[in-house]
Amino acid sequence: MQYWIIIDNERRGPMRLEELTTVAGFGPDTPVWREGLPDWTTAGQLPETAALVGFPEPVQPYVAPQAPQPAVFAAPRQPLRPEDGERPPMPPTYLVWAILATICCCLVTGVVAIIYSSKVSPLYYRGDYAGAKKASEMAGWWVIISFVAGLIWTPFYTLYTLLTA
Amino acid sequence: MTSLSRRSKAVMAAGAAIVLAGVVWVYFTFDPSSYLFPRCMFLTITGLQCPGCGSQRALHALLHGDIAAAWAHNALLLIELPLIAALVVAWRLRRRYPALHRALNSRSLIITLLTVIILWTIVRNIAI
Repeated sequence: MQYWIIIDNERRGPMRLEELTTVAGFGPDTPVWREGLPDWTTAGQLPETAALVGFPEPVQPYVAPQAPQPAVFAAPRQPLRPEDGERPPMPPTYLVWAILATICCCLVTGVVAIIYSSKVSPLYYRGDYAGAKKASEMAGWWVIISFVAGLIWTPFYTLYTLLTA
Repeated sequence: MTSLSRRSKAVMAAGAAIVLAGVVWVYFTFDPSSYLFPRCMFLTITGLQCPGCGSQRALHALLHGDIAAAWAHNALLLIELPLIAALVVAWRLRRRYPALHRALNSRSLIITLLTVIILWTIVRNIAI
C-alpha cells in the first residue's frame, strides 16, 4: 500500500507506511491519503497511521466499507486523486496587483485581496482546485474593487483641492 | 489568459509599456508634493498614514536617484519594488521554474508580507 501526505503545503509520496514516520513534521494532524479513501484524512484518524503517531484507537472509522461496484457504473476518477499525475495549473494569486492596490489607493480592500491571495496556494496543494480558483477569483475581484474606488476617488479629490486651494 | 491570441497579447504588452513609460515620465517630471496629485483616500478620511502613503514622492525621489529621500518618504515601497519585480519574473517563467513561482506565491510568504505591511502601518503612525 502506498501513502501520500501533505507537509508544509507540499504533497509527498508515494511512500510506504514505515517511511511516513521518518518524515519530519509527521503527526496526528498531517493530511494522509491512500488508495481506497474517498478523500484526504488525517494521520490520527486513519487506523494504520494512528498507530504510528500513538493513537491506538481511531475516534471513528473514517471510511465506511463499500460494496464493490461493477466497472461500468464506476464514477469517473476525480482529478484530485494523488495518483493522477495530471493536475490543472495553479490559478494566479494576483499578489502583484493586490500589493499595488494596497500601496496605491486602498488599504482596506487591498488587504482583503492579499488575504484571498494567500489562500490560493494552500488550497491548491491540498487538491482543492475549485477552492483555489474561487480564492484566486476573489483576490482578483478585490483588486478590481480597489482600483475602481481609486478611480472614483481621484477626480473628486482633484476637484476638492482645486476648489479649496 | 492562455486563450488570448498572440496578437492581442502583443497589443496588451505595448499598451502596458506605454502606460509604464507615461507613469515614469509624469513622476520624473513633476514633484508629487504639488496639489495636482491625488492624495491618499485613507489619509484624508482617517488622518492616519496608510502603508502606501508617500509612495508618489518616494517614486519621484527614486527616479532622481535619491534613495535616502525615497526611503524617508516610504520605506516599504523600497522593499516591495524588488518583490514585485521578482513576482513578475517568476510568473513569466512559471513553466520553466515552477518551484520559484511556488515559493513566491506561498502562504507563508504572503502572510509574512501582510504582517510587515500591518506592522509598518502601526510603526509609521506612532513613530512621528
